[in-house]
Amino acid sequence: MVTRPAPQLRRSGCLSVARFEAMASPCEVLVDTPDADEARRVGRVVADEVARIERKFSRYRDDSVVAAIQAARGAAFEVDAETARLLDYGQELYALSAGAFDLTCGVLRRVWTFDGSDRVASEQEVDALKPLMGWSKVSWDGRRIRLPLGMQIDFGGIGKEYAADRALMRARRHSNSPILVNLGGDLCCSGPRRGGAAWQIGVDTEGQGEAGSMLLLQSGALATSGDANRYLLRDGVRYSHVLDARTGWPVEHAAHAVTVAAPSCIEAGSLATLALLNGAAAERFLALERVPHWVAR
Amino acid sequence: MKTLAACSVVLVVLGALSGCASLGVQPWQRDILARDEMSLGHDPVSAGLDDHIYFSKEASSGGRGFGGGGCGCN
Amino acid sequence: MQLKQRRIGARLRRASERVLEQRRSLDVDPALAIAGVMAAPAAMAAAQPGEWELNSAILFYSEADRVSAIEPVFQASRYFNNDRIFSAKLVVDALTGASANGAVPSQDFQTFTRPSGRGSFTVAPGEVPLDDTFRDTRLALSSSWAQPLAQNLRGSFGLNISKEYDYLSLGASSVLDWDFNKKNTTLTLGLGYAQDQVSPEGDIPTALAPQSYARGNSADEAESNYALQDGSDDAERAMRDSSESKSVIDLLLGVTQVIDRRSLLQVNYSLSLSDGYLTDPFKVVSVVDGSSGTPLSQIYENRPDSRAKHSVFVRGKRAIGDDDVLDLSYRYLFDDWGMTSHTVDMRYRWGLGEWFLQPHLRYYMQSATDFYQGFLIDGQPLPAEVSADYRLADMQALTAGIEVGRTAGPWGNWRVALEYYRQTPDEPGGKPGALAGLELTPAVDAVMVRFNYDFKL
Repeated sequence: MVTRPAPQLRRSGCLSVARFEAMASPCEVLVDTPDADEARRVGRVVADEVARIERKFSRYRDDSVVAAIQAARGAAFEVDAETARLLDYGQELYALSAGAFDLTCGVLRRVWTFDGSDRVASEQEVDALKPLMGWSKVSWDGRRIRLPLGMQIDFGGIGKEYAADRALMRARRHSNSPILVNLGGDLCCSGPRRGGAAWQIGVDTEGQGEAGSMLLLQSGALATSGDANRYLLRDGVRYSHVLDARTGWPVEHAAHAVTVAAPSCIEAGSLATLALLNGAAAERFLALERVPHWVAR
Repeated sequence: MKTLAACSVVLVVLGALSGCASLGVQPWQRDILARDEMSLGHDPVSAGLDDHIYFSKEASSGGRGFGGGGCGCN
Repeated sequence: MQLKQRRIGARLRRASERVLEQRRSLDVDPALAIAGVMAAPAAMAAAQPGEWELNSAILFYSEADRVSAIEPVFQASRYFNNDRIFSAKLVVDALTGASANGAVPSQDFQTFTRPSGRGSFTVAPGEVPLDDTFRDTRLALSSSWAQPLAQNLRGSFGLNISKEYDYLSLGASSVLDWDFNKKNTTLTLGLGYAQDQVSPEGDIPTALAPQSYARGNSADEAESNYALQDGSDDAERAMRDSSESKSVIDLLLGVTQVIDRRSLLQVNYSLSLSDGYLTDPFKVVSVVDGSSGTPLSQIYENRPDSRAKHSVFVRGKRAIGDDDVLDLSYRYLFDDWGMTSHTVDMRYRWGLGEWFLQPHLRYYMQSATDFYQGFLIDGQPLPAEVSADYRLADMQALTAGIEVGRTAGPWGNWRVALEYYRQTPDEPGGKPGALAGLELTPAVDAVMVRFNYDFKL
């Protein structure tokens, strides 16, 4: 058991902010309460829940569910209920995106590193990985998963958003105060603040070339997909870090970042990811879905 | 040498101007400014009462903004 | 990527609810208004479309031996979609008590005609003549509509009416706020017009005409300071029209700048042009004997019929620490009546969790208007314009107060302020004879208590 530092608590008026690091992101929990002990308790519950999910679904740990599925080496592996729900969700996203989103495309990381350099993967490298990708090669019956040898499951695309939603649910069992959980920009709140006020959230739409916006969140969640600082540049062509699982190549004309508001963080994150996968048509996709959104290009 | 000195003065002035242009904050840095008590229009009812008192007791009035209607007290 | 649109949203919603085993709702609003620096009504950030925000207050104002006022205020603001706000405000102002009529004190009893011309009152030796029948109720109604006019441009339009027994004021105003530089800078342009009418009981007195005056020398009158007399027979009427009017044009140009994450700076230039009857029909000027200083008579005051007032107002606000706010302002004002004034105002809001404590200090100083004279000397030529109203004299004033309030908690958002206000006018110079030993413009002390309560519907 690794001991983690307790979340750092800062107070401003009635608002307490507990900060911690998890999932390679700065995280914070805002609790609208004058009671510092309560805020500290909520901060700890959230940090613990996020750590639990990170541990359970990490692709870097050999005691994670992901490692266990792989360790079955092609044999059927029965998963727990939570993992089953996430696999179902991944399967649904795969269907909704016609295969562009795929839980098995994590292997592409071996050839794509978006560090601002010009190291664009070669066609041979990408093609060599294709046999190791594709949800269609996975057998999943809702309880048992059979993952072909050499393939891997990667919950990276939905894990952080799921953790935000779950951590908030867990926190609400410990406190009736208004709470906002923010995991590196993917955030969700329990409802309006004390006295019915909304949470004020600034959205960085700088990539758009115009001033960003401020929004008021009374309930629901907000998630951002994309990262303007992660790309490759070669011969004047910009390769976004958004990979289409069907081709193994970056999506063309992808937005730098898409932020979406939705009832839950996982739904907001999925909509943002699907918008990015739509490339140049991201705005049209979001407009048709009629969701509040901010696109940075 | 003289030209160089003039140039550096111009650069300093331009620097100062762009310093002015960069006054302000990004939208996501408005957490503090967005607080109710940081608004210049905070508590307009009390401000109106104060303005009315001083309007009727002193020879000066106004300045802060637009107040309500006049009265026969001055 | 070709997706079958319209089916994604519903399927994704169901999938999200399954993975979380929970249903959630969304309520989000792009808040363009709060990103601007200018001032919309307070608590803008908190109020949502469809909500009413109600701000109420009651002020108790009391001067030692002089005027007392009770002033309740009720303001309701309704928020609509797209940052549109309707606001209406009602102010009642109930005044009672006595106020200085401008005449000098005397070593003898003095009797004055009431402003209405009906009845008279007597003032004891050495006392500053106060008209004790000062009693009026003012009712003021104002409403405004604010909305965005274009991207980064906000407009606000207001109408107001104020009615007293003998006074009516009708006004309209509009304010434009233009945000730019990522809403870090706001330019404000304001224009206002008001038309006022005064119809005092007993008509408008003729400027510089003598007011009836009698010397109290009977023992009966000496018994009380303010013995009422039925002196209407003696009252020499110096009345003219039944009403007079004036118009006021106000112009405001302002810049508000966000300095950094914690500070704001505002600079306003205001011009106020008044035209018409600017005289106070209830104020008189004593004519005194040049050697003895004995008041011989009073004449009605007369002020110029126009006034141009300029002011520059600078205000800074800065957040300090996690919960405190410093609010500092300075106003420089001058007019073509020869008056200049300086006002410094400082408030420090000290946040204590749900509570706050706010000390307040204000210092004001003005120079006298050109036509201010504490009294006139008998036999000297009468000036065209003269007023002995101490509010036009050289004066300093200090306000010190403290406000305490709670921003959350079981009784909502309330606050109480207690303030002490002291005016110290300078004594007029060259007081002849007995007048030299008397105080013409004593200090005025006032206490104010204000209670505010804000809530939402």
